[in-house]
Amino acid sequence: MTLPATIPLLGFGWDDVLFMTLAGIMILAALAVVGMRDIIRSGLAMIICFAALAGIYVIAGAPVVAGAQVLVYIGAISVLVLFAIMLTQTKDAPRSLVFQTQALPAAIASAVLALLIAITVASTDWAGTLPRGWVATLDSATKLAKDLFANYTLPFEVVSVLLLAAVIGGVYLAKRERGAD
Amino acid sequence: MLSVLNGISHSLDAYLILSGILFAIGSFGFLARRNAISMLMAIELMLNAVNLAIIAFGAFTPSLKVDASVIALVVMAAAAAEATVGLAIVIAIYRNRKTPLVDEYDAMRQ
Amino acid sequence: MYDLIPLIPLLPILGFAFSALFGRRLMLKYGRTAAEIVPVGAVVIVWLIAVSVIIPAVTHAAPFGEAGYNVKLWTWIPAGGFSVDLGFHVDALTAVLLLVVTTIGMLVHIYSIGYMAHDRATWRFFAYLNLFMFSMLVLVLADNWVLVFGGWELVGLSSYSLIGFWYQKRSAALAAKKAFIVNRVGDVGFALGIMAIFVNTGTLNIQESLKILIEKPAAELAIPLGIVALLVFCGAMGKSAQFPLHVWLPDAMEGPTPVSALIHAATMVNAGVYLVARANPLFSSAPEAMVVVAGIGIFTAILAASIAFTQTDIKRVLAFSTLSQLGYMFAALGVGAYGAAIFHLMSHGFFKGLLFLGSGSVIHAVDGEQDMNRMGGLAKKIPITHATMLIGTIAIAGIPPLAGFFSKDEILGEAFKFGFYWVWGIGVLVAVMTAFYMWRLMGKTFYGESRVDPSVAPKVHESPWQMTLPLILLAVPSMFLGMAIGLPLGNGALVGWLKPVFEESEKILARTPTETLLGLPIDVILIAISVIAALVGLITAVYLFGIGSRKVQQARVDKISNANGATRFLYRASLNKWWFDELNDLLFIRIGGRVAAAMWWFDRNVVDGTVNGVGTVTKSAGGGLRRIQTGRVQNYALGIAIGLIVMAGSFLVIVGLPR
Repeated sequence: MTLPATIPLLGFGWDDVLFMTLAGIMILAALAVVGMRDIIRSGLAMIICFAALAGIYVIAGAPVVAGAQVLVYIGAISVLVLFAIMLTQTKDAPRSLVFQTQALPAAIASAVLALLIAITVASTDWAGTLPRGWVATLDSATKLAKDLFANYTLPFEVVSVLLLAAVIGGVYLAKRERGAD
Repeated sequence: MLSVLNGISHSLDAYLILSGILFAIGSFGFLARRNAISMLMAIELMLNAVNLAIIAFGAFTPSLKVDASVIALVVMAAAAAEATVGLAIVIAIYRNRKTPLVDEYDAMRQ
Repeated sequence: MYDLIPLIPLLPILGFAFSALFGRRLMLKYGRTAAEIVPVGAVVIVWLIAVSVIIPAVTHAAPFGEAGYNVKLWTWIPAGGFSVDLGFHVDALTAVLLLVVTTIGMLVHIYSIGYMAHDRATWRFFAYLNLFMFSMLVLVLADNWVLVFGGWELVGLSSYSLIGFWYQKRSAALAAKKAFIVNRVGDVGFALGIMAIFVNTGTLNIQESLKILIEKPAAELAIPLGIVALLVFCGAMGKSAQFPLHVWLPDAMEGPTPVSALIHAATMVNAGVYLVARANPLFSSAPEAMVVVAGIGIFTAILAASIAFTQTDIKRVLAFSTLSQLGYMFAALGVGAYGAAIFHLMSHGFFKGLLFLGSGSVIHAVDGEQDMNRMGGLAKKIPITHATMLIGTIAIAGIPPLAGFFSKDEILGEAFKFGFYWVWGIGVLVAVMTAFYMWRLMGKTFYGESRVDPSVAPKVHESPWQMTLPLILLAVPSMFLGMAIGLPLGNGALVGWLKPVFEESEKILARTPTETLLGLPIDVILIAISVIAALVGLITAVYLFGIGSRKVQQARVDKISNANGATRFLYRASLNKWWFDELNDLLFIRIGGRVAAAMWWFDRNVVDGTVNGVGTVTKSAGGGLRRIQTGRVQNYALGIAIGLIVMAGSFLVIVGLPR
């Protein structure tokens, strides 16, 4: 059986439904990340947020980046964050005060920021971009790989050096000093 | 009224506004949370918001599609490096100060 | 022997250092002789060296010659075009001062051995005495103004230490302070004078600068000569206690008596006279300043003499007498009789030193009593002291042929001959008064019935040889000095010695003295008047305080002191020293104090208020801003975020939305 092109009654396509669902999940998860009292839950919410974002990448026609998102963010960074949480959490750490005293001004500032971006985006004429309704094509991994190792060899190598430096630096910083408890 | 939502997944504005909201949420988290790790997570949110914007621009500009993906991958690598070092720093400070709460790191005051 | 000149100041300063460092330990361990031998010995050796220098210097023998001999030691302050050489200049004037300073200094040192025999801190006393000798010798020997000023200040310092030697006594400490402060007033003038000389001439060498000062045309001088001379005279007024800076000298008698003799009669107070004599070409070129010098000198002379009439403290009488005699010297300087001034300086140094040491011997005999009303009839009990003081009294009174007669007569004679009749007239009056108050002192102290405290009376004794020997040694020049260097009158040996020093001034002043009056040689008339004046004073004093029965005289004295009207006023004025201390108190303590208090108020509330206000504003502003600097990264980050939002928002508002 084939699905109808648009959803009955509502009048928009399945892909739109998917996009809105994922966007909603992502925003809610992001709010949970910054708003949860329990920091472990924040970490878990972050995984959900990243997963939803990977889905949006697929809708935007970038399945390779979506794959990398799942690998890097969900598979590596989230786990790293969860470990860090477990290393630093103490039982007597005050749980009631998760926010700074400046939380209210920060919230207002963030809201204004979002509003500013929205207004700017909405009022900008994105010359040179495709109009609304253009259906993105999926990029091909082959083409991306060729481009990456042909045109972007230098950035690729630089990034690898950066990662190496980060690994060494992370080990050095987190290493227990000898004699210290 | 809901017809404005028709084809939203094929609108650049939608992606960009979504990215802006995600960025604002991340910045709020960075400014408001007391826990250093929460702040790092907020930074990740902001980085993802930027990545989303990059991918969106790439999707709506066919000539830049591959370049956008490459940039997004580089950003991810940088984010991974940042997370590694950032979390290592948090752990190191935690060892010295016995607290992950940044408002108690006020050595700059002296 | 001129190679030894640097030793003259060097030995006393070494003696000072030795006494100050080791004196106390030596005295405690080996007795006071051990502590005394070095400082006294140093001064005796200095005297020997000085005599060997003085004799060729005054006779203008080689290498001194008429211009004097310069000893350049080293360059003290080299600073570009400005340089101060450390060096000594020895000419006849220096030599005369050296003679007075070292001779009296040596005798006072010897005398002090006896006088201070019961003091617990003899070592300190001798250290100070040596320091004083050093300062005074530097002052006299120096060949440039800065070194003179250095000696000048050191003299003031050692004088302060010695006046306040018994610092446990409040009055002594206060007197020392008073002397120091009053001296400072004059020193400011002197310092300004030195600066003025330097501005005018570009050199600080005394001889060179004086030469330039008188040779340069008046129009080329930045500061007129009259002002320079008066500034230098200011310093002289302070040190030589001339009106109105005379108030410190009587109080300085709080110091031990040898100090009074050495510093406040024979040497330090002469520094002002020396200074003016040394700068004689400068003064001779500034006639208006000369008149001021003469006026202040003769006024001080009569003022002090009038105060000496009624004082009962034996040392204070002598102190006012010193003031009066110094006034004479300045009067002489003011009329241009520099030689006479130096002559009087010399003879006064000896007989006043003698009188002071004698008074010290008297005080020693009556167990520290200084009030003449509690003395009397001491002549037979302390014969040597009595005899020597009698010589001193006759010398100061101006009875020929003792020293005072020659020098005083020369001053009065020159004043008259050069046409300063007012100086001469007042001078003669002062001569009468001098003879009177000095005999009053003798009469009250040595003659009549004894009024000594009964508990002390049996213990009255003549002083030990260390004290009487200097008295005898000083009595000799008091008697014969005048004859030795003052004859023939007006052309004695001293005149010949000092001729080169004052030659320049004579040329500038270029005047011919009056030689005859009423057909007789003027000297004869003037001498007759002087001698008559001295005799009048003496006889009046003998009538009131003399050698006869005490009761009759006391009645006469009481009659005067109880009289009414003008006599009573004069008596009270004299007794209260013309209320100068009260005047100073009113001017500087009451009125000056009010002004100072007002200024202090202004300073505290307005000046400090402004300064503190600026400080307070800054501090509270900082305190306020400090709250912003929490040290928390997130607060700063919020600042960045708000800043970015405001910037972006204002960009949108100003530039407008793109569409």
